[in-house]
Amino acid sequence: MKTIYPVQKDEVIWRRIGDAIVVIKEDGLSSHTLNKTASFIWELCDGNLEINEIAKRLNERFDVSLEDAQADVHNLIEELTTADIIKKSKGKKDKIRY
Amino acid sequence: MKALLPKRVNTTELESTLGLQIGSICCELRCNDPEILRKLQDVYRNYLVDAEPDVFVELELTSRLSTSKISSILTRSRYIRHGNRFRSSGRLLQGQYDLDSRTVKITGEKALIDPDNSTNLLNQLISVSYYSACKMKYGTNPPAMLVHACGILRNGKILIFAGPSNIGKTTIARLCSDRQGEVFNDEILLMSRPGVNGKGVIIQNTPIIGDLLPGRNTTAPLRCIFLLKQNNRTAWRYLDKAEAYLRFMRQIIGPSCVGNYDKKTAYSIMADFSSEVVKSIPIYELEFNRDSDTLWRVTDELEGITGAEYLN
Repeated sequence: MKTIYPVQKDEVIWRRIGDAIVVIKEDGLSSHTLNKTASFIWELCDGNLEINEIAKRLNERFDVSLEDAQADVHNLIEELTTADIIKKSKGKKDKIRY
Repeated sequence: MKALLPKRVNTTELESTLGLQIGSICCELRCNDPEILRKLQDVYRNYLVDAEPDVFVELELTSRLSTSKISSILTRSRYIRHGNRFRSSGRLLQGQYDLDSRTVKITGEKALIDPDNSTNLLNQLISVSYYSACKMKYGTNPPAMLVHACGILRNGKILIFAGPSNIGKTTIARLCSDRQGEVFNDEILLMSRPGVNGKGVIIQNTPIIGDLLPGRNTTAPLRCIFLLKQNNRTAWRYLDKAEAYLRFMRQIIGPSCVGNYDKKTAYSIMADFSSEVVKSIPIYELEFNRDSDTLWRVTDELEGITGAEYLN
């Protein structure tokens, strides 16, 4: 299985509004409102955490099994990738190269 | 409510420039046409100030085309912006910003600027001038933003009615008699950021002309915002914050109001402002059947509600 580091796309603008996160594209035409769990996952999509690590943190933070957390994270990343607000990177964003 | 004192205007003496106050911005209008300048002086009489200008707007007017020709072009005209330059298709006007000299130069047909015509270009001019000056003076953190809404002063506070074009903002202004409140403006208001100067959200009237002429240059605190929806009854409901945020940003500010920032910066400014307002001010959806008595009865129901439940 490939290692994937999801990262928020540069073009999006997002703000936390109460428990939700609202993401809009820079054209302002489309928006996505993320619930509490999805918002937690979204904030971890900084390009430095692999999908399984995000699932592990979701499992630690919420009352959800690791298997369910992995499925939830995988499905959400697929959905947000299709929505074109997340991209899947094969390497860490902040990886230092020597 | 705080009344702002306008400059004392001697109507018999024409000045070559006008100092126009738009919130905390002073815009100096220069024009090569004395007749237009005199009309602007009259239209903006409550907003004229003697103050150091933040931005200079130079109007060079021409009379190249007939009014009917201009009207014909206007129906299919588009506004095009490229860097610091802008123009309308059909060559009705063109202009450019020069941030170093704090100047906006506009060349265009006289009929477009003439307040006696209903081309609405004056409003765009004020909007452009305000945000150009804000960009120079405050960067990406303007202390107030222009909002597309009707403001009614009632019981010492402003009720804002907003929504897409033709939803009923001007109708509400017309339904407001002296007994029920005072119409601030039925088109564009200036809304401060929450907490600026340790106050709540403050609404200020603007020299922007709607279907009703702008009233006095005054300020008052904002009570709440109603997003209008036409229906066969009049009723209200709280909007959850995420929905309120999106609708506030799309229906009340709108990117076209934000001026010469790049798209992402404009939306970031709008997002910051909208999220601050939504956290501070209750926003309701108001179904509205255009009946005056029901309208004010329903809005009065809200006088007993603090909004604390919503805001917390």
